[in-house]
Amino acid sequence: MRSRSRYAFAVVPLLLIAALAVPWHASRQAMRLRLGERIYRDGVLPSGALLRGVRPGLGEVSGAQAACVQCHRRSGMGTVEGGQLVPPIAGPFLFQPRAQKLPELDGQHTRGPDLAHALGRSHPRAPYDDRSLQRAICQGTDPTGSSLEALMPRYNLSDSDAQLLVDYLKQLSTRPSPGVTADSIHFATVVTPGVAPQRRKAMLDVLQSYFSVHNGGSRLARLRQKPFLDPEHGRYRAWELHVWELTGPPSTWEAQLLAYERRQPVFALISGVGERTWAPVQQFCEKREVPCWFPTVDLPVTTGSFYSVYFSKGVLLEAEMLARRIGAQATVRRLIEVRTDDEAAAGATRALAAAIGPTGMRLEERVLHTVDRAALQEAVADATAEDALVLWLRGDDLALLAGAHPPPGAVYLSATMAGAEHAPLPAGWKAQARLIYPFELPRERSTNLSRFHSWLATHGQKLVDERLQADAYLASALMSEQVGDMLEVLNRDYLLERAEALLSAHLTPAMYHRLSLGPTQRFASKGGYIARFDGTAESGWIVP
Amino acid sequence: MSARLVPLLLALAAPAYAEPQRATARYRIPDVTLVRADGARVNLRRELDDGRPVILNFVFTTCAAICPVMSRTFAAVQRRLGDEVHLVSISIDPDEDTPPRLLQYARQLRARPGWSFYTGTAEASLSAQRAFDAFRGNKMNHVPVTYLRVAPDAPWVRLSGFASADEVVKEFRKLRSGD
Repeated sequence: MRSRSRYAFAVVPLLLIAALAVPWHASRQAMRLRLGERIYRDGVLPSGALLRGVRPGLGEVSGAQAACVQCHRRSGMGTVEGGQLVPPIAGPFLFQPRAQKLPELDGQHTRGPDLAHALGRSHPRAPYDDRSLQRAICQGTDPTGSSLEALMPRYNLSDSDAQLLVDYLKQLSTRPSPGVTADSIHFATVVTPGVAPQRRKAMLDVLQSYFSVHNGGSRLARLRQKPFLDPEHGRYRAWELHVWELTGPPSTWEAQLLAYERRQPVFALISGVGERTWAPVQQFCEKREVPCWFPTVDLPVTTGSFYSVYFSKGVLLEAEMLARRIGAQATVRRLIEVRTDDEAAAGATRALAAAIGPTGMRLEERVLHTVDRAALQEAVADATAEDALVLWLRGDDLALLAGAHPPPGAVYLSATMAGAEHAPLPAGWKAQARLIYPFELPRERSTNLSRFHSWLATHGQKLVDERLQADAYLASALMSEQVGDMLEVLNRDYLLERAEALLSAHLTPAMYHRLSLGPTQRFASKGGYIARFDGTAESGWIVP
Repeated sequence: MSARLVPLLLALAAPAYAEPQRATARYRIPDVTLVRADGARVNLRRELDDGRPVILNFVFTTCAAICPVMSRTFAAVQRRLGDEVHLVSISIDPDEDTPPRLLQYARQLRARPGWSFYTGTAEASLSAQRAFDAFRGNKMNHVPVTYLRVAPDAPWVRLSGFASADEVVKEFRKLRSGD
């Protein structure tokens, strides 16, 4: 008995040590990964010193400029820029032998010359191990002993710091992002409160049709996917659409989104519609690292976005365009802005004041807390020929101007808020008013969008809101293209990097004059026109 | 094999320390208006023909891999050649690269007077890129090229690839001495 109890005394502390050691080991691993990530993303060593490296013949780099992320990107999937291949360095690509080439590079199935992860395999190489990878990082030689490109810095790293980086690379982009399963990819689309039911339905109809075609509703669609059915090179996955409907005040939206996400994680938010504010949605996306893929919003957030990409800055772009326009006309003495409590309008007013800056011009903001005919007509009554009147108002409110005389001076309307040339403005006002127009002009647009319009007709859908429906269609088409290119690397960071690269090349059926992104760019259309109600431009292309 | 892939795969097989390829050419500078980072609207031809020797490249400010290297090379060239030369960087992403953005980019690079940055309409930038045979379909396909010209009536020297500051300065000195 005695000896048994003595034995038990010895076991208890051992168990305790083991129980503590597991989390200790896990947290130590997590800390090592964080340190590795800091070297990779920020170019900062565990000591706090800056990462330093030398590019043979091209000089020294340090800190953020030397960070791996600069060229290999956050996902580690690399890029192709100007014929310069930056190969993928995410775990699987380094620690497996590199095959000769992918079958889709046989010319028939080539998806694009800028697909670093496909090209990166196109010359064979033995797999790296820890030691050879440290050598590549510090001395610039690959496992076969040949020199890496001069663009790849030779880093000055201690063995232990180099090992942190090696360990970080080992796990980088090894698993698909949340929302991706063996046979499906989950997406959600967000609808904020207050969106008119027919607009909401129009957007959802576009998305649902697009998803059902993608999911092999037609045999042809499956056949097109054929090269990717090969299990080695990406498998066919069905797309699942979830509608995340928000209710109540914006302060509660983030909690609602988190609850939706707990029920079903999604790979990305796709399209979506928000009229007033979108800030809580973007905040959710940044916090949870969920891509927010081209929603149709009037008031996006212009700072702090990595995971949110937009077609344009909406009313904020309009405000900056108007500032540029009015700044060019020295004749305006007073700028009268009329708006309601609408957050988009308030945001536009703030952006306009900031963009105009300190000038001799007087800015008067007239806020209608309740909109009725009398109050609105009084707010615009005293505008003179030397004033510019700016109406940050939505369609229904504009209709209340019926019966009022248009002022003798300039009148500007937000095309985004008013519904562009379809705004229900009284006829007398239409001749006088100009639209701040961050879209392609109607005539040119009808050519660009002809494919989209026939798609709508084919799927039995009516045109309700061209911008919203065309945006939803394009968001889906861009997603489809990107997911096809990504093959098995269904990683959220990589999705955004692909968007940055691909949009620079594509002619797309869009509402916009030109769509273009690049590294760190998050707003694809960057300008617009001052347009008349007949759809002609009164200005050239304005980029504020 | 797609024709577009061939140059890439050739590039993959290229040795690591490729020296820039040198060629001379006479480019017809288009009569276009560009906007300098200080906001001035200027004629490209007059900017280039002001009598100073010119070293020119095409960049964009959000470019991740190629332009930072080229821009750092320009910064080093400016430190060494100072007022001897007019450095010219023209944006190939003019909608994004507004004059204030270019100013910010110049500040980051510690560019001094004598190194000018230009933007303008997409059409104007395109016509400049075409004139210098630098246009490659879209901005992500742009290639690293450095152009040098010692006098308005002299031909341009085109250095394709990543020319180091040493190589650019050496080429410049050679051209100046009339070799």
